[in-house]
Amino acid sequence: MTDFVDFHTRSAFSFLEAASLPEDLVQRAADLGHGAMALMDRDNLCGAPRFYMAAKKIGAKAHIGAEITGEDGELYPLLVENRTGYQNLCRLITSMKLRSPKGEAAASQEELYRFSKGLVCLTGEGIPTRQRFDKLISLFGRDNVYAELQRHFHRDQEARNQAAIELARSMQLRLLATNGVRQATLQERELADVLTAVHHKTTVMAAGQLLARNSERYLKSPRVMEKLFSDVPEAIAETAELSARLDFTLANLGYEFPKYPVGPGETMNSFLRERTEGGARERFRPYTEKARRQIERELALIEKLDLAGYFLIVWDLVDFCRREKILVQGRGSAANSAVCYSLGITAVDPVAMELLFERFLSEERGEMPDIDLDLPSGDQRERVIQYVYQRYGARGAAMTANVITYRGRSAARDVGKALGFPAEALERLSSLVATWGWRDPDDTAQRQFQQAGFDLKDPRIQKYL
Amino acid sequence: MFACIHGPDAATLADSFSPFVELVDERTAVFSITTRQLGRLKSMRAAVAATVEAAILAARNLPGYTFIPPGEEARVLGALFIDALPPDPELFETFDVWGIRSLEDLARLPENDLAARLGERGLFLQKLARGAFERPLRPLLPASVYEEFADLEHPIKLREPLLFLIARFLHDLTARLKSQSLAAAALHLTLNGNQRRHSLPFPTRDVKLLLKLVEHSLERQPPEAPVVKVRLELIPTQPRRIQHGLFTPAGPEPEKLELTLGKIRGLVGEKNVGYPELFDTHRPGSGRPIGELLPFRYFRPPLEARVSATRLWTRMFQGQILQIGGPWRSSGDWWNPDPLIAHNAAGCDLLSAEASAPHAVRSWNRDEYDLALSDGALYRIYLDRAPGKWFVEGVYD
Repeated sequence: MTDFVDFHTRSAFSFLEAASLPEDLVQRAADLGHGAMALMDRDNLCGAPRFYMAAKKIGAKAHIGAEITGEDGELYPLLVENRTGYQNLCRLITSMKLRSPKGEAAASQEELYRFSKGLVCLTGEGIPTRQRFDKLISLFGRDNVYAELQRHFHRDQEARNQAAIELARSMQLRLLATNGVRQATLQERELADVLTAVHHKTTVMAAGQLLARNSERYLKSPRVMEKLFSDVPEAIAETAELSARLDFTLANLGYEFPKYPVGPGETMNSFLRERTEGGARERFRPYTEKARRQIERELALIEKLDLAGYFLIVWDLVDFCRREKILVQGRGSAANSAVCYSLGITAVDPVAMELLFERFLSEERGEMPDIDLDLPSGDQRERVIQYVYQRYGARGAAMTANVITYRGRSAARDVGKALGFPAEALERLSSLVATWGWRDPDDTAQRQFQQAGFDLKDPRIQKYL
Repeated sequence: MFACIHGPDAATLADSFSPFVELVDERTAVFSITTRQLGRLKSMRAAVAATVEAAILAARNLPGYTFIPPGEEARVLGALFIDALPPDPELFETFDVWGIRSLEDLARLPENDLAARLGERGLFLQKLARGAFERPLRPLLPASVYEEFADLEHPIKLREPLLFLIARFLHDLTARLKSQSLAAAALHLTLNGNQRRHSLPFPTRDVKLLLKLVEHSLERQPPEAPVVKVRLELIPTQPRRIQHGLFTPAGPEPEKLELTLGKIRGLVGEKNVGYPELFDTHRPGSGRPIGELLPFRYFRPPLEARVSATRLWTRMFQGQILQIGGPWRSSGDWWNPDPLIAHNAAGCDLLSAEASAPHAVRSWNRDEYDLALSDGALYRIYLDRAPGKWFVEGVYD
C-alpha cells in the first residue's frame, strides 16, 4: 500500500460545486485504502464536523482545510496545521464574509497575511508563475507553501504541471500531488454536472464549457495516484510527510465557555452561588431542605464542569430582559434545574415537580448544557441581541444559521430543471417523488413514471431514474 | 403661443383651430395659436402660454380659461400642487420629505444643488414647474404610404428598362421619406402581382443601394413573364443615427456588407449564407482549442485507424510510432447517449443544422494521443471509447 493522502477534496458543502457528502467521501476513501484525507470546501468549514465524525468512526485521519477565494481572483487552498491555524482559518472566513454580501466574499491580501499562522497553502490549479509563488511565500512562509500538481488528462493542465515542477525546483518548493476531487465516484460526474447547471441557473444542455471536461475528478486509490505521478514520485511521498506534519483534528478544539466578569475578591463560582442562593430564597417558598440539597448538588456539578460563566451569562440576559420589561422564559430541559429556577431563568419549580436534573446536565453524558430562552419577536428580541453583541463583543457572540439541504421534492425539481424538463413536467416529477417508496415489488419507480405519462426511453428520464 | 384644450372633446375642438394638433392624451390637445383666434377659446377649459408644457399644465389643473403672459409662467403655475407634474414616485417621495408641496416650492430651489441631488429628472421637473421647459409641438400626422405604381401599356421584357423605371420610383419615394425625416426599413416590389419583400438590415434612403438590391434580386430570380404592372413600396422607419467612436475599429460599412451578402446569396443560395460561430462546449473540434500551440488540420471525416504499440495503419498512410503523448481524456453530453454516431462526433456532424440544436448533440467519450510518426508528421489520434475504435483526427502543421 502506498502512502498517498489526498489533500484537495471538495464535498457537497462547497454548495453546488461538488457532488458527494463528506460521509460518502470518507467511506469511499476508506474502501480505496486511504488512511487519511483532507476536506477542502470552498470558503467554508460547514462540512468539517461531519467529515471528522465519519472519519473518526472508521479510524481514519481527517485533515481540515478550505479553499479561500482571494480578492485577486485566485483560489488559496489552505490546510490547517495546528489549533492556531484552525482559529486563523475560522477568523479569516468570518472576516471576509462579514464585510461582503452573500456569495461575494473574498479575502484581501492583508487578511490572508494576518491569519496565515498555522496554515499551509497549496499553489492551486491556477497558472504557476514565479510572481504568484513569491506572493504565497511572502504570505505563508516558504515552508508552508507546496507546489500542487493535479492530473486529469488535460493538455493545458499538463503544460501547467511541467511549468510548476520547473518553478518549484528552482525556488526550492516542495511538490504535492493532489486529485482536486469533486465527487466520490466516477459515475457521480453526472450529478456534479447537474449541480453545476443548477449553480449557474441553466440546463446541462446549455451549460457548455461550465461543465466538467471529463469525469476524472473522482476519488482515486493511492495505487492509481502513484502510477499517475510515477514521473514525480516525490510529489506522492510529500503527501505522507504533510499528513504527518498536520497534527490538528477537530477532536479537541480547546473550547472554553466564556467568562463572566465578576468583582474583585470574587470568583465566578462564588458569584453564581451568591446569586443562586439569593434567588432561591425568593423563589422556593418554603425554602425546604430538599431544595437546598438539590441546589447544592447542582452547583457542585457546575463548578466541577467549569460552567459557572455560562449560567451567569444566561442569568445576565434574563436579568437584562427583566430590567427592560421584555418577556423572557427559559424552556426545554433547563426547566429541570433548580439553579435555573433560582436564577429566574425558568418558571417551574423542579423540586416540587420532582423533575430529573440529569436530563439537563450530566457528567456521564459529557455534553454541553443548553438553555433555550423564548423572547418576543421583533424589536424587543432585537434589543436583546444587540445587548449581547454590545456586552460580549461583536465577534464574541454570533447568530447561528441553518444550511438548507435538498429534500426529495426540491432535489427532484432542480435536477429536472437542470435536465431541461418543461415546467409542466417538473410539477409531475416533483409530485412523483413524494410517492417514491417502493411499497410493493411491482410498484417500481419506472412504473410510476410510466403511469405519470413520461417516456421511459427518453435518456433524460433514464438518467433521472 | 401655444394653446391647450382640456375636456372630453378636446381633439375635435382643437381641429377647428389648426390642422397640426398634438394629442397629449384623450382629453388634452395642444396646438399653435394666433392672437386673433384667442377670443374663441375663452368659453372653453383651455390655457394659452409661451411654452407647450406650461399650456398643458395650466389647462389640466386650472379651471376655465387661463392666459399666461410670457414671463409670468412660474407665478401662474406656482400655486399648483406638486402632483400636477408628471408622476415620479421616487422623486415625489423626496419632495415630500423636503416639504415641497407646490410648484412654487420646487421652482424656488437652487438649480445646481437640485441637479446635484436629483439629477436630470429633478431639473426637468423644476423646469416644468417654472413653465420654462421648451419643446416643439409634436402634431399627429396622418400615416403616409410610400408607394409608386405603374400600369404599363407595353410590357417590359428586359431588365435595364425595368430598373430604369424602378430607379425613378425610388428617387421619388426617397425624396418623400427625406421630407419627413424618415428612411426605408423594407422594400416591397410587386411585379405582375408577385410580391418580393426585402427587409433592410438598417434604415436607408440611399437610392443606389436600394437599386442594387433590386438588381441582385432580379438577377437571382428574374420575372417569369414580361412585366406589365410594377408596384414599389418603401416601409418607413426612423433613420439610423450612428456616432463613430474615435478608437473603436470600424467594421465594414453596413451598406457594402449588405451588397456583398446579396451577391453571395445570389451565388450560393439564400439559405447557405451565415457566419462561423464557436460552440460553447468541450466537445473536441468544436470549441476553442485549449493548450494547443501548433496549428492543426482536421481530417473530415476522421480517418479510421489500426494501432499497435509501435505502428499505426490507415487507408491513406501508415508508419512507425516514434513518440507518443497522452492520453488526453474528454467526455460529455452524457444525457444524450447515442453510440451510432458517437464515432463521428469530431466536429463534422456539428456543422449540420440538426446537430446544432442543443438536444441533438450526442455524448462523447474519448482518449486522445499525439503521435510522432516515422513519416515525419505529428498526428492526433483518438480512441472512441464507446465503440472502442481508433481514428486519426488530423495532423499538426
